Amino acid sequence: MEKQPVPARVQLSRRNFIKGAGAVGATALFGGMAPAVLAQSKAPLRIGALNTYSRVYAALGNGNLNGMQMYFDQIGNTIAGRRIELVREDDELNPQVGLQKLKKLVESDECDLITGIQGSNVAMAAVQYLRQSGAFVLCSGAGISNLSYTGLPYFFRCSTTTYTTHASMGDWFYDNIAKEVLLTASDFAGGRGSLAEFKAGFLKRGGKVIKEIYPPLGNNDFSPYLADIRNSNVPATFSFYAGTDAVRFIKQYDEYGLKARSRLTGSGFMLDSDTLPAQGRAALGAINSLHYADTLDNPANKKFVAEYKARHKDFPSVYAEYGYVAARIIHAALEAVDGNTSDKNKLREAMRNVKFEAPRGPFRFNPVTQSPIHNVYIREVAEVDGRITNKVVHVIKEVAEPDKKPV
Amino acid sequence: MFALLCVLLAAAPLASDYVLGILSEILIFAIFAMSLNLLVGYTGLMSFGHAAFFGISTYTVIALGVHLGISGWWGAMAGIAAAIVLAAIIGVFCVRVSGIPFLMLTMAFSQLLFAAVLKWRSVTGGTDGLIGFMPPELFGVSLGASAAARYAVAATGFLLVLGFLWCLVRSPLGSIFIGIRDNEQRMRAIGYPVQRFKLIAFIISGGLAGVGGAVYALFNAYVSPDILHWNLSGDAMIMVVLGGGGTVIGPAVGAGIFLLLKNLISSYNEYWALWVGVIFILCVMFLRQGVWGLVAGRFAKWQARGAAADAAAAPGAAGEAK
Amino acid sequence: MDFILSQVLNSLAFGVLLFMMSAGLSLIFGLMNVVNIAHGSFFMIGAFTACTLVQMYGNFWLALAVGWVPAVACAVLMERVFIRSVYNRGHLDQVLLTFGFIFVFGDIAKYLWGADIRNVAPPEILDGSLQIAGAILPKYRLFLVFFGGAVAAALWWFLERSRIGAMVRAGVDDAATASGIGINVPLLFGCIFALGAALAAIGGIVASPIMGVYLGMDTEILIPAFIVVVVGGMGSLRGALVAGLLVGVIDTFGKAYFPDYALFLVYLLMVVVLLARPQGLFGLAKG
Repeated sequence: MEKQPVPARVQLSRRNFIKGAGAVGATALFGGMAPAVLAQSKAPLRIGALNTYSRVYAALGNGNLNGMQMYFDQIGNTIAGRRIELVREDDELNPQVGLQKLKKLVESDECDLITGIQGSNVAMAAVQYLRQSGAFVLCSGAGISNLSYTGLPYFFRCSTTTYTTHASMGDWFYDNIAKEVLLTASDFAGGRGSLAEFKAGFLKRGGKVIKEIYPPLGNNDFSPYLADIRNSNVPATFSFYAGTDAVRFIKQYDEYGLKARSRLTGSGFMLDSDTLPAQGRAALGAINSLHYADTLDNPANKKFVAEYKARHKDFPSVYAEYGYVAARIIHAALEAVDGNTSDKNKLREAMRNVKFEAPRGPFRFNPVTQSPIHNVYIREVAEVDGRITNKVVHVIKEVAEPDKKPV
Repeated sequence: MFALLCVLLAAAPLASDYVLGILSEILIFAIFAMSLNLLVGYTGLMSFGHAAFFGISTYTVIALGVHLGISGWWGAMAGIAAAIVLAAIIGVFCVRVSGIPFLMLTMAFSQLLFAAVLKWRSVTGGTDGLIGFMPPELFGVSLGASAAARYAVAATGFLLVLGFLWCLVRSPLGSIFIGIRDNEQRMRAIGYPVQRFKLIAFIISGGLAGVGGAVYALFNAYVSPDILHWNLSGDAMIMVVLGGGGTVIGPAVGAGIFLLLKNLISSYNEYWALWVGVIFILCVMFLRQGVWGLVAGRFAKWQARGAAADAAAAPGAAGEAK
Repeated sequence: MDFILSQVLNSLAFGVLLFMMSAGLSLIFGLMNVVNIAHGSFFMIGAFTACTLVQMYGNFWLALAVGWVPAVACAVLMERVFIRSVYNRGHLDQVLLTFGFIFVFGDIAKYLWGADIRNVAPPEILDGSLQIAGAILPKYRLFLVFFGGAVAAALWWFLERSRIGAMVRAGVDDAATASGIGINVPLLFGCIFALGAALAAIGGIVASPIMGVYLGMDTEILIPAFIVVVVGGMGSLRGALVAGLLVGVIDTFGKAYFPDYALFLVYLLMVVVLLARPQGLFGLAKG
């Protein structure tokens, strides 16, 4: 089985060279059976995949796992001679459950590394435990910006940080949409946080916020709030809602004829593949920002989308891309340390140095926050080849978040 | 029986950290379920809002620790006090009604508290909860660092609550509660101020739930609004029924069964809710006395049969062996 | 003024939805003295079935006509096999038993339909909105109000004017005597339970274009429905309608004028009513 070309800098030490030569020789002798033979002599690589597989957020967990599994299958499920064992646990997007399962993965299952963690609430709850236990985590889901500033040495994040997504949008919005905006989001930390991030970019340019509206989380009927928006006569709105709220808000916004009066914009997380099918045509024309779009025109993404479609008969979601990128990072970092997960500092160094062309574009880690530096795309919901998805209208290249937590 | 339990619990620290963690959680929820059972099993009042008392205690401990730096031990005292006060306030309203209205009212108050906690972000941290709680020290060992220390606290709390309840149900006060459960009208006819006693049961029950909540705070060092949601109250009901509401320790057994089932099943199969639901339904239909009720019942029968056999054998009666 | 007009429409729409959910619950309690807290599951099953039917045949009216069948099938099964055994065991056991069913139905729905958020598109002629007196009135919500009103009228006619309705009312008043004069009470019970489930399922079908279809909608609608039943009075259809509209109004206007306290207002209503009049606004004080 051919291994993927190793992207990270491999220290060409003598040991590695001899190993390499040995492997080549063994391959020649055993013709492909060699990797398996070598793998058996080393302990399997246990990776804990802590995701949400329940309720409406199951799409996130399943997507993440699909992306990861696809990459691992492509490299023969072996890294540096160690066979990969994925241990899957469901955190139910509930911090208490998530903590419990995390402990199980770290202590009982003795995983070498943990990945996944879609819920920002679960991730934040885990911080204390991670500080205590020193477990190695490559978070491939949660986007909350606080996670960049925990100071945890063995905590990496390859998903995204919402600060860059929303602040860049705020900045671009001022030049391209309107100088005034009405903000609305569900009344919870994620909602308020997203709007605060948008404001950071927008207000810095001199933009004006006409009003802020926060309906309760899990709201059925947005009509009172939509009537309020209508009365405010704003040129545009920016919003953030999650899950079923996102579906209802967008549909009702359209139902009440607001799109024509106040331009609809929002966070990319509200207008992506997990909600667009339910939102349908109501979402067309909505401007949003995200670090990924399945219509991205770069070689890595084209390959990723084609392979994912062949395997799952569906387009990949941003969560699948998270998983795919996570798997690739794990591969690169572990190859660099020759599969040795017991020296966490070395693994940390190796992971920090990982950079490559991901489906989302160029990817590397911010060395201070250990969170991604990647492109942010301004997208518009459109019908492409009979499917409602996002097309990219502008690229903001390689955005990094501030090194210190913005106040 | 009690001595056996103490020995078992004392021996447990020999197990691994992970197992200790599971056991601690079982003990904490056992406290919660036993406290609910005082209301449901012993006084006949069905409440779906019990999580309010558990949760307010946890929030008090964590909030005092995070915002004011108050040590976990004092925080725990405050938490239990908060639970008692809340139970008194809510109880005054709820005991005026019974049956389904009582159920709905308890659930409503609990959801009101849930909504309030969600909104009051500055104190409670809103949906994200509160992080940064520093667990206190037990005889010089930080609870944050030692799973055995956390287990010791959980086990102590459990034994204290168990002991308290055991004495309570055998006391005159306990008999009054049981009387209210069995025949409220008759109690009223005899002249007992039934409503006042229901309130007392409600307050004691809420306070005990607060003990569980405080221990949970010390154990978890984190709190989020899910701890106040009626889902948790529902889980406690399941524990009571699975274990059996007829005895003090039944719900503790139920807590163990429920948590073990849920954890084991969810690691292999994402449909754990289905299995727990089915088992629960079967219990309600066929095993109403609960698993522990069944075991205790059998044990009692076996003992009785043994005593009867001894009594038959002792006078040397020839021939009539039962 | 246009703001008030559109809010009134929303209140009515939400109110009739709640009525459909709680009418079934109330009838079941009034006649059979049975509490079924898995009632929300019928709502959810109806919505998911509609989703599938619309996906397969593209016809909303078809979904409305037959989408309630699976939910009713579940209800009949549930009643025959399980609830019969706890009829005389009192409310506690009934609540417990039906609580278990919430878990079971929830996972069955997850297994059959998956965990994604789904959607039911309203029929073409009901898409879009009307502009009346400056207010935007979505056509679908107008339809919902009329539909709900029609259902309420049909139920009223059924109970007050038809023979079966008379039997139901007799059973509500005194099941023993009703049985004594030859009414087949168990059969009646079964029919009423099925009717209640059908109402909930139809509620789910008509709610789906507005609410969406997703796991968790069963418990989301359950609490408001129970609040309506308790406030209106268990066993009273009139109570269900009045309380449904009342809750609809308070919830909608509450969100419009007091967005920060929207969540609390409806609970407060229930607390106030229960303390002032524990049997509900129109309920009969049962012994």
